Amino acid sequence: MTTSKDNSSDIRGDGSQIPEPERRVERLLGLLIVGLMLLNFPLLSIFSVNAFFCGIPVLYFYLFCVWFLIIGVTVFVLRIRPSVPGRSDESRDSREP
Amino acid sequence: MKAGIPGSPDMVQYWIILLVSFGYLGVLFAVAYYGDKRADTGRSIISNPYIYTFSIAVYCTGWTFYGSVGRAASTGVGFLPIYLGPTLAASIWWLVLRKIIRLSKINHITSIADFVSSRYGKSAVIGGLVTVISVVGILPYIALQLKAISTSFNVLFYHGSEKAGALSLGYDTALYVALILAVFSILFGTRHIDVTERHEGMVAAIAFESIVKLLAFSAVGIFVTFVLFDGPSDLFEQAALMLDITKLTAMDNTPGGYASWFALTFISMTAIMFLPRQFQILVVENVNEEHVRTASWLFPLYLFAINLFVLPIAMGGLMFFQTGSVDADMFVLTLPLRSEEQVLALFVFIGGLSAATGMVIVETIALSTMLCNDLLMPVLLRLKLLRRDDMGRILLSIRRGSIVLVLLLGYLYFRLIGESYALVSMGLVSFTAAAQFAPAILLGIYWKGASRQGALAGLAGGFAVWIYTLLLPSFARSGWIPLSFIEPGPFGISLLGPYHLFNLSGFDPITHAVFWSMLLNIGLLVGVSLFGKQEALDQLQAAMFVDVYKKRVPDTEGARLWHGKTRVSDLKGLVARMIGPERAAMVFDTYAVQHSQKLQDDTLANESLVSFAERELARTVGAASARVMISSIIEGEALSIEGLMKVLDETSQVIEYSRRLEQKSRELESATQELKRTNERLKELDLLKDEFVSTVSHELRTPLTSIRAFSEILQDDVDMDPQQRKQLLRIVVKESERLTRLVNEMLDFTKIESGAYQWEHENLDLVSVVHEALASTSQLARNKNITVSSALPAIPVLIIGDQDRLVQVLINLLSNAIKYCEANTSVSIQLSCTDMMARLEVIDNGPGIMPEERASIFEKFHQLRDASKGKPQGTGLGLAICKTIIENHGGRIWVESEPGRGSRFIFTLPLKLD
Repeated sequence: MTTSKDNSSDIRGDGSQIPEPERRVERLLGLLIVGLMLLNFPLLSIFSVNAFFCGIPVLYFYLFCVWFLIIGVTVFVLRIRPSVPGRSDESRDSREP
Repeated sequence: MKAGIPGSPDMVQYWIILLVSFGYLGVLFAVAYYGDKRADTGRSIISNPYIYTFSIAVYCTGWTFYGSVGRAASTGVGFLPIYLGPTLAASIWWLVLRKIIRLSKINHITSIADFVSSRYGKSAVIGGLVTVISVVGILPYIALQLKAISTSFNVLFYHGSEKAGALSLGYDTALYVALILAVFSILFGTRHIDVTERHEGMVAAIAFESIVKLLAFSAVGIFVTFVLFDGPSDLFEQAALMLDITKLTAMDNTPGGYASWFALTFISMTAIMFLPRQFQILVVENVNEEHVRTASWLFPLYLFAINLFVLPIAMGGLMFFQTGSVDADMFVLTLPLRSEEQVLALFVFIGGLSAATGMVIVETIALSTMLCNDLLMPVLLRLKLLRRDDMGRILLSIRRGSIVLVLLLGYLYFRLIGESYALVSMGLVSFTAAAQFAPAILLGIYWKGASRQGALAGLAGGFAVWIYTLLLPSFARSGWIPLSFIEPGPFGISLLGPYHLFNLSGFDPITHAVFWSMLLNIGLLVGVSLFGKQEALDQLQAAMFVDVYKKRVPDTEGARLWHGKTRVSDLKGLVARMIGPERAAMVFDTYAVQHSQKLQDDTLANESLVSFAERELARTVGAASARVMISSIIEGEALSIEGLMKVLDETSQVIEYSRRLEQKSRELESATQELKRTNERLKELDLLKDEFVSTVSHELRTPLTSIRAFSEILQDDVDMDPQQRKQLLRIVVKESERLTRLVNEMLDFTKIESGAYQWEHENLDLVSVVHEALASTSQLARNKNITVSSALPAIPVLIIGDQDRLVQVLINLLSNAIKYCEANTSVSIQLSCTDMMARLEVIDNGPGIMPEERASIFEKFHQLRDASKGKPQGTGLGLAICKTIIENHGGRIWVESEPGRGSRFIFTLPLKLD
């Protein structure tokens, strides 16, 4: 379907104000795919063992680490913002009066 | 494990629990009241990404607070996908959620049903179907909250008494809880007569509740991990000794295994956005789409924090209580109680109350809005039952009634099946129902082809599968339908068994239901869209939803849609009936000012005003109802198909055409400009050529004439004196030489101009070039008795170039200088070096060159008009050749001159780099 194509051009089209870095879209989608893979079979089965790491069951340790990692990468990708003054003001305009 | 202190547990006093509970609800109400107050004065407290994030945490309900521990106690990691899914989904909120928010703001969306119906041609049927799915699908979830609150209340109250086990369900308590929550929801959500989509006070209260439940859960987690045990390592060590810990630390014990894990991740990814209350908080109550940026990471972090202690609490509970003696869902509460930490237990109870009430309040408000706007209003409007003036009040009553209805239905579901399910299992049934919205919404905002019929078929199909595979079996398990419905299957046909449809086995019931419902849902949506026809309004909305970022906010979107006629006063009256006369007047005044129009009551309303009124109504009653209402007061054909098609054409094709046309005309314009310039240049050249031809023929004719004349004399006069004959012959030879030179010059120039000339690149000394040129022109100078002085550096000036051509340049310049000088004067030549360039000047004291001619003398065929001599001299090619040669060497040539005081021809050449 045209989904992915539309998606990227949407973001490009957002440039009626400020062009959204297309790299960000790709990074976020990449993060989603990697996250889905890390948190599912078969990678998950590697850690499904009866063992402890630093006193914590390995599976839990792994899941919480990946979880934290995903949050960290999301912060990293979304915090790099185009340094255009007044951007937030502009989007605030779309508020209800 | 530290020594447990069994002691004799005291009951927590009934009145204390009630006092604290109502006190807490009072605090909540105060927060909400403050939030509304601030909103009214325009200083919103919820316009802040952190409040937004905490309000999203309404996702964590009694399920998370009590149920996660219960789930962890039986399945280990099995509780986690419900929080990992939203974390993954949040990573693409910036792309998906932001688009949905943008669309909802533009269309004044009031609920998820409104959103889906708007996307699919403002269809009332779709809105109604989404509402029905939401209400029916969410009932188990509300039942779950009622169960959580009443059970926790009873545990707290009866703890230690003999009745503890028997009364832990407490139907009466649940009924009271339902009624109290209904009152609270009504107070939070429908306090105002002004029923628009946003509830700032409620959002503030929900954010507050999210903080309370996180603190309470963390408190009990820290208590178990660090007070009952010596930190996590100690806890896990003891657990390894006492329990069959492999059950909890590996995947083997999760029901359904990895397939179920994936299914749960998937449905919770959709639930975080498409549960009616999540949609309400994420989209409808969103103040600024920029807040999504923070929420995308802060919300997963919240989930991370609230899940950190789930497993320690579950393991602690399993170690302290014998299997089966205490409901694992209540470990959070029973662990502090067992250690006689009654204040902590009370705090935990309040935390659980926060989690459950937060969910119930937002959910019932969202559902009542949907029931009112997308189910009841369209029906009532079509039946023409609503003709009263004060519709705002009716709307409010409908919403309040809906809230009570939803809670009572939730209570009923709880009565019917509450005993047979754990908290999480009940919640998952609702998640699966909410997942049915995902295909229609996600495909809807990225694929224009998704059609109304497709969405209708997909939603209906998915919902039917959900009823058959999850809802009906839950009734069967509670004994309301014969149990044989599940096993072997209805009418004893095992092929139709709701847990193993068509003998598909190996899945747990939830995964099984997710698979079949999604298969049918997506299959029908895509299939019917691909093979069916899309209506005009459907196409228009599809284009607008998919391309929302491509245009500016379409303020006049659909302006030409309303074809019929209506008066301004009718429109005003309609809006006033919905939102009250004063606000209606205000809204219309604002419109008049913004569009600088005067709105006279008895004039006909133009199309943009009608659309404006429709949007204003949609804010209150939703898109589908607003359309019905507007069409009820419009005379004649309300929505014209041609009008629609026209708009569609304009939005898609015409814009494309005109863009191409514009580009073409721009190209054409620049081509025309180019042609015009070329034409002028050609005309100029043509003129120059004419002059040149006449000059050249004149130049050629003069020597030819004298050659011919002298040759004839020599031929006729045979007896001529040999001395005289010799002189005549010398003239003939000289004139022939002049002819040759002229022709050579022209040939040279054409050759260089056409690019055919092979340039030499040799190392050479510019000083020697000057000497060579001086030697060649010495005869010329002597003839006119002109002295040529030269100032040359003592060392060689090295450059790279073509010796013959550079000599030619110098000869040209020198002979020009000599030609224009008066006899008996002098010409000088100077060579000097600046940092990177050699600079050569040829100075004469001739008549000089007028300023306007200084640039053009280097053009080909240009000749100086000598005022005194009347006719041009030379071919007009000499300087043009010089310029071409110098520029080919990477240098520059120009002239400095003052009329009457001689001129100075200068050229520079790059020095050879060492």
